[in-house]
Amino acid sequence: MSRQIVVVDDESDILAIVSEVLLSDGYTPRTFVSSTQALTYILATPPALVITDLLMPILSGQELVKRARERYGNMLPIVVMSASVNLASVATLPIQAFLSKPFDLDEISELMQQLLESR
Amino acid sequence: MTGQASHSRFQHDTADRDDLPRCLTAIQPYIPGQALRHRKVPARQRATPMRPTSPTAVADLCEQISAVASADEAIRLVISDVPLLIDARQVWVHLHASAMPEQQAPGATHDQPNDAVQLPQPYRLWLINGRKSTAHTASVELAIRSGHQTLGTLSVVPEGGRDALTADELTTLRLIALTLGQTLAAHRLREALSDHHLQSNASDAGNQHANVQHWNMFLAHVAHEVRTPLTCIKGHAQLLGRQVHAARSEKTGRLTRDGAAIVLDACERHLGPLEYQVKRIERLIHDMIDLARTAQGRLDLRLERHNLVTIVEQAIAATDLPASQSIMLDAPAEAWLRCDGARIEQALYDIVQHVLRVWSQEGAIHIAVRELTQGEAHQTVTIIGDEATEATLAVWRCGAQSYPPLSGPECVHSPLDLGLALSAAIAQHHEGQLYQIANRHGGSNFLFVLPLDGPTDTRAR
Repeated sequence: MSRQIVVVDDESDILAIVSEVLLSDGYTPRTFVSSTQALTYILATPPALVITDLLMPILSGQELVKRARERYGNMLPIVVMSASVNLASVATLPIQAFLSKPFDLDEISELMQQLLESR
Repeated sequence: MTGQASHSRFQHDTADRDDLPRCLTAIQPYIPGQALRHRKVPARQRATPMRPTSPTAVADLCEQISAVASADEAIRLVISDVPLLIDARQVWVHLHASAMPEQQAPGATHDQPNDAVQLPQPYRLWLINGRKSTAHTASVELAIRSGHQTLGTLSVVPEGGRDALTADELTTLRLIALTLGQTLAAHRLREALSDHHLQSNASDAGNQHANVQHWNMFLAHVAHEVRTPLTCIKGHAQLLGRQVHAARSEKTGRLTRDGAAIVLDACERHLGPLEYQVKRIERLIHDMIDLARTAQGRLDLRLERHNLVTIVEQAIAATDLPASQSIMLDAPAEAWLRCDGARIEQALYDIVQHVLRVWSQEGAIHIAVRELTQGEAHQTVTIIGDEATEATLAVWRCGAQSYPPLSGPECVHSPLDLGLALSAAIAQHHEGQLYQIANRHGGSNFLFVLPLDGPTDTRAR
């Protein structure tokens, strides 16, 4: 089974942190600062899971989730992470999990275990 | 008798109800839609002749009328039975001492004026029932109307079979009509003022609600901005902790043979970003404190002559640019102005950070510095964005009034971004402005305008 996880966030530092956690857990992270480039990659190469930020320039996390769902339906697990205090927009998103920033690194490891290893 | 009664003749001192006309039988509330009908005066009241009425009694009577008058109420005053002629077109009350015609249609007018009392606008006296049946039961009812609303009625009932008023009765009726109209006018004015206050309060409440909503959105943005570097600090600290833990022997708790190298490597990878994010939060906190000071008018400026180009270069140097982005500076060698150099650098840095954050991830950010003369104002303009400088300047100069500044009395809503809000406030404290103009790519260009001579209202240390 593919263990490639796409991580999307306009903060390169957060990408580096999440990427290091995923690497240490045996996954293959593919990081994108640009949400538009991430979407292009996701539509062309289906990953095992997507972790995405919400507030990003040009293409928001909500839009990225929507477009990925249109292509893959519910087969693709998607996790949203956000520092936003307004979670009303997240409640209706078709996602598997939500990570509130700042998050514990153990939360990422547990989520990956829960969403990928149990499939 | 004169045509108009002077209101100044009224002395509003103690009301004397004994002076009220004997023929006054009742003040009755009017039910909208109820037909105004002739009211037969009890026989016992007809025997008493009408007496002159003091001004205070009339004023008090009209106060009673105004107390119950409203937009849908009419008051029936039974005063006496005397034919009255009304010319509604000219808003006059024509008191005619002769007999009334047998039938009168509502709103009918007559052309036989003698003594007249003018009611204040917009009140009119309408003849609504001029029928005269017998010498003892004839009556004339008048309605005081504003537009199509009946505000009050005067019902004149015959007394003693007379068909003419005495001179005193004429005066009394005239004064009653005049004072009634003025009292109702005052009542209407009070109602209008009350409505205005209600609308004003509702508008204030609406504005307050919008301001509260905007403030809540601003706080949400600030919370988001603070949480992002916190996420990085927490992540790097936990990764560093994991590496240190991995470098220890489970048995002894001491560093393994390779442990030192692991810890050293982890420190090199994580301590640098940790320090950067801590400085980032530090800067955010300073911006929040400064923004609070600007809101209280307590932002002190150290005004000196500075080369704006040097300040711009320092702001650019402080910016941590991603590899995919660059900043192109188009500026003369010097652009001197009187300002607080540190504050201007802070403002420009925040604008550049905002542009980098919300911009596309590739391409160049353009910064240009220009000196402008508009009328008698000599200004410098720093343009930050990704469009051609001259085009942005031209758009701004042609339609300056279409772009409200981001702070000050003309600002519609201050920016939600903390850095932009502070930059706008710093510009305003220098008696300059920050403008935001949309560009073709769906983003914005920013114009940071400062006067060359600095602010006139200085708080220099």
